Amino acid sequence: MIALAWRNLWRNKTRTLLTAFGIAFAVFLVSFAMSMQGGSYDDMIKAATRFYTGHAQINQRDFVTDNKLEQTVPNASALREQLQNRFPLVALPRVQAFGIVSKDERSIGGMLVGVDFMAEAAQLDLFKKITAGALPRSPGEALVGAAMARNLGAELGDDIVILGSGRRGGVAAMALSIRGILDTGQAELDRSLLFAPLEEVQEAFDLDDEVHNLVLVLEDYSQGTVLAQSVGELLERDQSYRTWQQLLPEVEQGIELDRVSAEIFYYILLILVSFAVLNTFVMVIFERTREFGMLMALGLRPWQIIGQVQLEAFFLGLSGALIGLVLSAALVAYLSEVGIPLSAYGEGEAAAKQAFAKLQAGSITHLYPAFSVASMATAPLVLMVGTQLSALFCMLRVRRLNPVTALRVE
Amino acid sequence: MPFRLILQLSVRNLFRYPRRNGLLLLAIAFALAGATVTNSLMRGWQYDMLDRAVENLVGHVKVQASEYRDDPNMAHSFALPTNYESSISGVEVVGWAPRIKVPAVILSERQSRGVQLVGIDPTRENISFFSELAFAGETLADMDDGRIVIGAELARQLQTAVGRKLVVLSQAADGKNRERGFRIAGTFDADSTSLEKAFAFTGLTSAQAFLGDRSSDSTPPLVTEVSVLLADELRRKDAVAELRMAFPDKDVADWRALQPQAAEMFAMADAAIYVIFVLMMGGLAFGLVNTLIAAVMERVRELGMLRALGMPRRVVLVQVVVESMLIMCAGIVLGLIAGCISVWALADGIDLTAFAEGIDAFGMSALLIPVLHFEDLWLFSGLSLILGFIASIFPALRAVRITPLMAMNR
Amino acid sequence: MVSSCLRLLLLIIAVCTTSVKAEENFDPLTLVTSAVDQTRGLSSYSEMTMLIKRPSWQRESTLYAWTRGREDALIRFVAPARDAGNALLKQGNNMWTFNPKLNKSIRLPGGMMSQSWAGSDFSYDDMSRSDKWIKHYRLEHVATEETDGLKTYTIDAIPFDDAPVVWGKERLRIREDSVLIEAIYYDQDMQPLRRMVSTEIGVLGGRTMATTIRMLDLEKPNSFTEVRYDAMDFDVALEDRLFTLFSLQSRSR
Repeated sequence: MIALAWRNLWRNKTRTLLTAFGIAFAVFLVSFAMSMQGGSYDDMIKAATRFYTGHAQINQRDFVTDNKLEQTVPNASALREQLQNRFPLVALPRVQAFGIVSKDERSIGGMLVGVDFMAEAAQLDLFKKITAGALPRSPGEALVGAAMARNLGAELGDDIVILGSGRRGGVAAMALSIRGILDTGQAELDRSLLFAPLEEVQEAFDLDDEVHNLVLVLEDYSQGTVLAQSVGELLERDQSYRTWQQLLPEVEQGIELDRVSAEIFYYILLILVSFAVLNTFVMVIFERTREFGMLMALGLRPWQIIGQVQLEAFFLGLSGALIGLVLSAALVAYLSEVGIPLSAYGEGEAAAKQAFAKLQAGSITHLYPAFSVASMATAPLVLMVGTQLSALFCMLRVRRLNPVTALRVE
Repeated sequence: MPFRLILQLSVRNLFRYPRRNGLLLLAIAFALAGATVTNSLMRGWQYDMLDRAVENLVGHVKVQASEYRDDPNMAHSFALPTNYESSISGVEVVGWAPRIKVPAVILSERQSRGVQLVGIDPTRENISFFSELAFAGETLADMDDGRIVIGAELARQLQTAVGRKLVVLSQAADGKNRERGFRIAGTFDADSTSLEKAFAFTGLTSAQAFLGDRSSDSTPPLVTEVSVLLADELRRKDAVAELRMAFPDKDVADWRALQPQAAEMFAMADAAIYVIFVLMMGGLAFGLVNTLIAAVMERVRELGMLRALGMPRRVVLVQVVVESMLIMCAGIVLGLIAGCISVWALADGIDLTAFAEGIDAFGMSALLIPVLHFEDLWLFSGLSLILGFIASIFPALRAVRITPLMAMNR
Repeated sequence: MVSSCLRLLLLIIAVCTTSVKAEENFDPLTLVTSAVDQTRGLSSYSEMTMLIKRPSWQRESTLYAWTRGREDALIRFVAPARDAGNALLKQGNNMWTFNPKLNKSIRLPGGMMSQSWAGSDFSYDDMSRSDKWIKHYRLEHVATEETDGLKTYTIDAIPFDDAPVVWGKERLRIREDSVLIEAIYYDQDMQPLRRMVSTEIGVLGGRTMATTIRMLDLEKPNSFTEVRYDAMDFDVALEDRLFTLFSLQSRSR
């Protein structure tokens, strides 16, 4: 029966080929587009989270809304070690304090962030945006946002002072020299942030072994929500664990929005191709009514005939899907190495970079498609199922076929 | 053979196979309807972005002091000549809005925030989002109104409400700090976008008195910018040229230069629209060709006989093509009508508030309203007709090769 | 947010010994104005202890302060050692803060004025306003009480609409000898936010004045700042160069 089905397909070469290629076209397009999406979403999430926010953060619960100096996570070193030993992640401690930043006569308000420079630079991309100077390595050195430096009239090597209020009411004072200048492309960050060594900031602001933020960089970003439970066990009741989806809702939503709109397009395409398939089988019925009549007169049951055609439909769908899949897989494999350069935008390059920088995905220069079960399996599956259903739908009439009338059909 | 006869023949042929042709018609209509709807949604998104970019106090063209872009400050204000509106004569202008826009600190009893203080003439703000805002309380009455309006979100952050007072602190034209109390006339709702948090509006005259030059009475009132909305956005380059002549020492720029990000995304949307359409037509093409070939094959006997009767090859060709074009036209018309109806059904817009932060980053509003862009629809129809034409060539050629002998052998 | 209370402090520092005997139909503006007028042209030197109390910690410091009129003031921390040398200079409309560890004076930018000074319940803004007090408020006499033979007047100070004051109103209780007993700061819903109360009144430097003043944050329990005057000297001869940046940065005295 299988051989018969296959041969039947080739009775009308042109039609079979056209339909198969139609399926192939749709499968190719949809699976390639989905791989592109998957790849670029992946990259966007990676770029956004590896920029500054990390994959998850631990804070004192009220710090999220109030940003007060005293809202700290105590015993930070111990907690950090525990986290790093138990889970596949790196925990970066950060301290935040508001103060007056001043150089000579000029002073402005700014947010001082105490970080472990070496650890952060190894994990996060923000510190690659140093446009002048280098990453601070010695004590007393700071990294300043470009806009802030400009507003202060400060340059590389200049001395600045920061004055604020310590945790227990004392005056917090720091003298730092500018070792590097940072240009993130985001004015709001550049204008108000400066980074200094963690221990120095803790000391100046009268903080013990406590931090405001533990930024977690996971090996696999999708583990963020999975770890919530286990990490939660290590935390106090007043501490919160937030995943990147909560920290950067715009990234998740942007991706979701894109995904939804793409899906609409895919469905339209798949439906269109299904029409072609449906048409094919309509014609099949029509052409072979006589043949079916004869088969039935010879004793074949209707369901056997239906089964026969279903098999043909299966081969049709399979061939089309395979062709499409193979082509798309080849293209994806090639491009996942080479990538599609974003600079293809030409004059809009700078603006495109700004747009991406705004989504904190500043380090994307190429778009890479990525294989995934979903991207490779969805289109073929949908189309093959669709093919079967189309065939079935058309063939249902066969049950009611009267061999006599069928044979009379021309 | 006269064309009318060919036409009649084609039409009657169509009705001979209602099911098959009906299916094809449906497929074409579906493709066109789908294209219309997705196109209108994308255009809606694109123009929404444009509107947002332009209404975001940018306008189509802006005149500012040359240092203002790098250092937005009252020190970089300028005096507006009384007859400034005549500066643009060649291009139709919808409106002019002179403003003072400077950074300020706004204080309530419990909180303080950094904002942009904008002194406006409310009657002239029909060119920006201001005139379309919904207010709790009142909006500013006129340019002399000494009260303030802020976003609802800002009011929430400051823990204040309509009718209460705020203190605004900013730098005056002479570089000194000035502060003043302002009563909140009303708060506005802008879907929790950044607009709600960033701006505080007051009357232009009141802002001038607050921050202007107090050294002498005879100085003309100062502004930091004049924003212009044109009747036709495409004429912005002409407007810029004229304004540069009228204000030779000022920074005159259009919205694409002032908001390159939005400009880039605007261009990207154009590209995306066409790509999507082409792909959809591709999906349709397979089914189309398939059906047309089958149509021809079914008529082998008939066509052979017609040839035997003397119908020239050319006529056969034309007839097949005409038949396919007829279906195409019918499908296009049906599809466009269905598409337009769907767009009107969606005219209230699609609510995107679930994606609030994401769309804010993309520069969209929470309500996606589809826009019917008739030039696009004409383009789609034209392209579809061309597709129909091309798709019918192969079947037509096949039809032409039918000899009377073949027909009689059947 | 913090109140404008230290300017009241400076006001009280310079109050006259001879109490103003008020008449029955008295004018609140006169009482307040006369109290303010007393400070004109006067100078002072004081030594005080400041206690900042919070639910989980407290901190006590010793300060020396010099004032001249309503324009100039210099306040320096003397103890504890960790804070010693930190100083605040007010010169007209400008304020500078000095930190000995940095050995630097920093001019306070306008946007920072509402921040807390030295972690206390006073803001830099409080330290700087002195006569805007009269300019920006409308005064209303609300009540009069009498205790121990001394009348205490309750006066509401309501800021004008365009005045750069965030408060709904300030309710003052001033004794007829021009000693401020209490000041309560209300938000614009007329909820009390802060309360400054003179917990001890005595004679210092030859004048009757509040010797201990406590500033409470009414929205936070167990949080206040208390200033106690240990020594006071009025009409001292002060050199002009005392109120300069140089003096701010010098560690002597």
